[in-house]
Amino acid sequence: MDFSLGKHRVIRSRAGTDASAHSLSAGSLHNLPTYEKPLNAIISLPEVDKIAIDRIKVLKKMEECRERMHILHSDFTKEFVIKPRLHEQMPLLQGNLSALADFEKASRDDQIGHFMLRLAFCRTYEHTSYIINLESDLFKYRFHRESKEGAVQFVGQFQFIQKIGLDEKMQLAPELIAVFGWGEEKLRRIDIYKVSFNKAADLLRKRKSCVLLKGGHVFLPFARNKMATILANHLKQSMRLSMNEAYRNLAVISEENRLLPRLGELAVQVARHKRSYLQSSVDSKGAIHKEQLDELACTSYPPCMKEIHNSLRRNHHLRYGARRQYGQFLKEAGLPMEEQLQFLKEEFTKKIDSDKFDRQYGYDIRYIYGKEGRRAEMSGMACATIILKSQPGPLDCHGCPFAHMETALLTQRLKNCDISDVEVENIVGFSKTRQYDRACTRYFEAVHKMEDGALGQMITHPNQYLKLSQEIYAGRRTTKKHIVISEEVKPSPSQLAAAAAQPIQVTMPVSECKKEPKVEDVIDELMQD
Amino acid sequence: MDTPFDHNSLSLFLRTYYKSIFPYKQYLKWMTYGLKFSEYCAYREFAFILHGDIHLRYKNFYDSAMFERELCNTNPEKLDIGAIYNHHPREHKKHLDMKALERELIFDIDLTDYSGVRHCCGEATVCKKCWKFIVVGVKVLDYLLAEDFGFQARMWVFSGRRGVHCWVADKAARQLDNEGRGTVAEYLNLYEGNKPNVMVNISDDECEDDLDRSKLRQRGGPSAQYVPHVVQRAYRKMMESGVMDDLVHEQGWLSDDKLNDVHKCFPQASDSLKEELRMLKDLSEKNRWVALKRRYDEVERAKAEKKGLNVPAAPSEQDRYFLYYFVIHYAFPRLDIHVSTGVNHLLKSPFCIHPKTGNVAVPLNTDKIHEFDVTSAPRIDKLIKELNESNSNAMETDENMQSQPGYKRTSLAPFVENFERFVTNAVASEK
Repeated sequence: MDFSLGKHRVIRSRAGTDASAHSLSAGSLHNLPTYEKPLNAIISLPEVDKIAIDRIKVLKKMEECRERMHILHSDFTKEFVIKPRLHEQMPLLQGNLSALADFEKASRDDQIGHFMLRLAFCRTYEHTSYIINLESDLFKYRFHRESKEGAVQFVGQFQFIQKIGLDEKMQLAPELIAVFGWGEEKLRRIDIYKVSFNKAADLLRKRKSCVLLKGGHVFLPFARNKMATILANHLKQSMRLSMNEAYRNLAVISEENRLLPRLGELAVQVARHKRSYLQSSVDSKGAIHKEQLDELACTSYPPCMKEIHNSLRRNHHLRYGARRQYGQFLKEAGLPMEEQLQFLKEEFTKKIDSDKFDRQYGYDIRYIYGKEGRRAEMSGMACATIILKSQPGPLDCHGCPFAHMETALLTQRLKNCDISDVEVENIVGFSKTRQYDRACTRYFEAVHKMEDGALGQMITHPNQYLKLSQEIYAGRRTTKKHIVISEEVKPSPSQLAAAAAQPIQVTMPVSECKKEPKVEDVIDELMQD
Repeated sequence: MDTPFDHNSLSLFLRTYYKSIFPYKQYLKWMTYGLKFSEYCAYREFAFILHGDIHLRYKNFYDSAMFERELCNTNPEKLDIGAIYNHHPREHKKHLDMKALERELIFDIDLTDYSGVRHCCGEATVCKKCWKFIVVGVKVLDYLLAEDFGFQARMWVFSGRRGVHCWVADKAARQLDNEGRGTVAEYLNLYEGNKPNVMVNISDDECEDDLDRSKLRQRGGPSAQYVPHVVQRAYRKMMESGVMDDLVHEQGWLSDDKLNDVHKCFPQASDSLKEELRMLKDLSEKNRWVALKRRYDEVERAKAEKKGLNVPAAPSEQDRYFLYYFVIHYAFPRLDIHVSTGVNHLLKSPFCIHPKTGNVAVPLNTDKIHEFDVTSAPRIDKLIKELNESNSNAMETDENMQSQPGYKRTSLAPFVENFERFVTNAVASEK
């Protein structure tokens, strides 16, 4: 980077050494840049600030709107651009370019803004994902607003998407006809594009899009949605790559007092107020609602509660032990009493009438919430209580699966949970050696696709499990392992004798070991100055 | 028929096996992909598994001699192959940015996952009838990998007990990231979430004027769903695998006691289909399958018509794809997707020994996969016996024999040839 010193804070954003970097006067009529190469331009720091902040405003507005409606909804533009008058911040959103007085400046700001945000948000995985997600949606939105000619022309700029010639098309005719259901005459008229399969991954997944895959290439007509998917995917890939690289380079550029802190500060502030797109199920009061239970059972329940929940859905009944264990869990998780009553009633009354339910089961539930009997609110049972105090009988479904379930059944259940065989073996192994907490912790990591030991704590309470899981889905907890010191076992005779020995793994939570201070902390400090 | 494998003498056998039989030359040719050992293979993670389930991970070797030497010195019960890393795996503690860069694309089919449809054997046992599940699985997946993805270097390896592993070694396959692997696996997996995935919705995304929705719908039955072309081809491949008829009969899927459950694989079955299935009871078991094919399989119908046989009326739109669901539910390979999706996943190496059975993990000839006899696969103790016999013969006859690689004097030889074909394709993909 070339930074001039002194009063005139001017920076030059790097464009690589090749001369093919976009020049401003490329005369492109596109509303949309490819973002393939950063711009070569000279720009002052205050201007950078303004451009970056304006872009963030646009992205935040889009984030807010897309929570309410799909970006292709007919009212989206009204809500996103027109009402908040965003075209003042980002004139390109206006659509009609010929009417745009200062197209070149708008286009330049668009690109500078995009690349500045890449720099600003590259420091943590969460920030990177956040901005990539927003930028790719903004891109999709704008691509859809292009005219058909504009879109075709735009696609033509990318090397990796190619229009195939007539010869190739006719060679593929039988397959194309079989896949798309066209007549031969129509096939002649339609342009077919070709792209390597890993560039069109989203289209192939579960075979859900109508495209032809042959010899490692995807063949498709110019369908706007599919092209948008491919291009947005490409943008995501290149953003991810370049942001990772930028992060590595940040360490080398010691430029502490100028551009970078400003950018970092920007990212932190934005991310702090971001709404997670994996919306947390827990609303502000920490309450959950009965409609969420099925989903939570899938994603965030510990295996013991999942077992009870599924049994309830299957048999429309729960025995006393299960009602207690599950009821207390739900109460602690924040399910209001009325909802729990309703939830169980809906299920139970598939077998018994509602009077009987009120008489026989209502009391227990109200008791848990401290409305009956000794009138003390109960909290969720801890694992130790579940394991030791309420041994389930043969007809029961409560208890701790790792402690009480037969090994064969446990193995089966685990295999149904998307856990690899190796992990299943590990977990069952822990269960056999009575390390139920380790089994559950490992299970947690496996279903959340975390690295071994990444949780950094043991599961000792079902509600703790639920909370941690929700934190992960809300993006408030990393799934990466902190620091692991692992000792390879040398095959010395003595160690061979201790055959059960496993590789020794020591996991240290970040807080306990020396690590470079977090970017956030540094920036917080800077901001206090 | 065979004497069971004596597990206790495994360590003795392993010594001889690694010293005299293991096909190092071909193996290392594969692992280096025609590049310098130090440039590629040296970054590859290997794992040794020793007696007592001791895993030694993050091993790598700096040259071919070291690989051979360590195998012969340690004699691991199992050898796993991992990924190529950006640093030497042995130094994984030194580098915080250790990252798996590439590895072969792998698939794992295990017969234990066929619960509910595999009736000839229980959990761990395997017979010739079971193997036919593998035959169908290998044929359909191998076909799709070649035809749709264009992968050339494919190898199917007997896992040593009750399954097969597939290795795809094309450069493009090796360089797939986790997401790309997931895509391939999801595309191939027609039996996901324990149910056949035959139909897909015509999504609103298809609402482009370029796509003829009415045509799609016509091909796809009543609702806004259709059967993708790839599913149709996969189904056809399975029907033409040559073992479907055997599977239906040997596993008794249409037998009296199981017939009642058949419609469950096809959730949208009409009442008349259910009734039809009940009526099949009147036919002999063999004829039940013939009757189903002749009503629901287009090719079978055309064939019968040509022969001038009596062909029943075509099925209703609703039941049209019943046989697709049936065949995919009962016989589509049950993939363990998680093996495929991780770049850094460890998988048992070809030519390693299954410690429980003593069987060698041999590369199979995909064209002749149905000829492989899973009950008399090459076994380490027998190979060593063969080697010893040929050694004693050779002393009397032929000096030449002695200089030949050990495996050539055992029944492992044809499998090494299968391997060589794969290695040639794999190395070619690097260029």
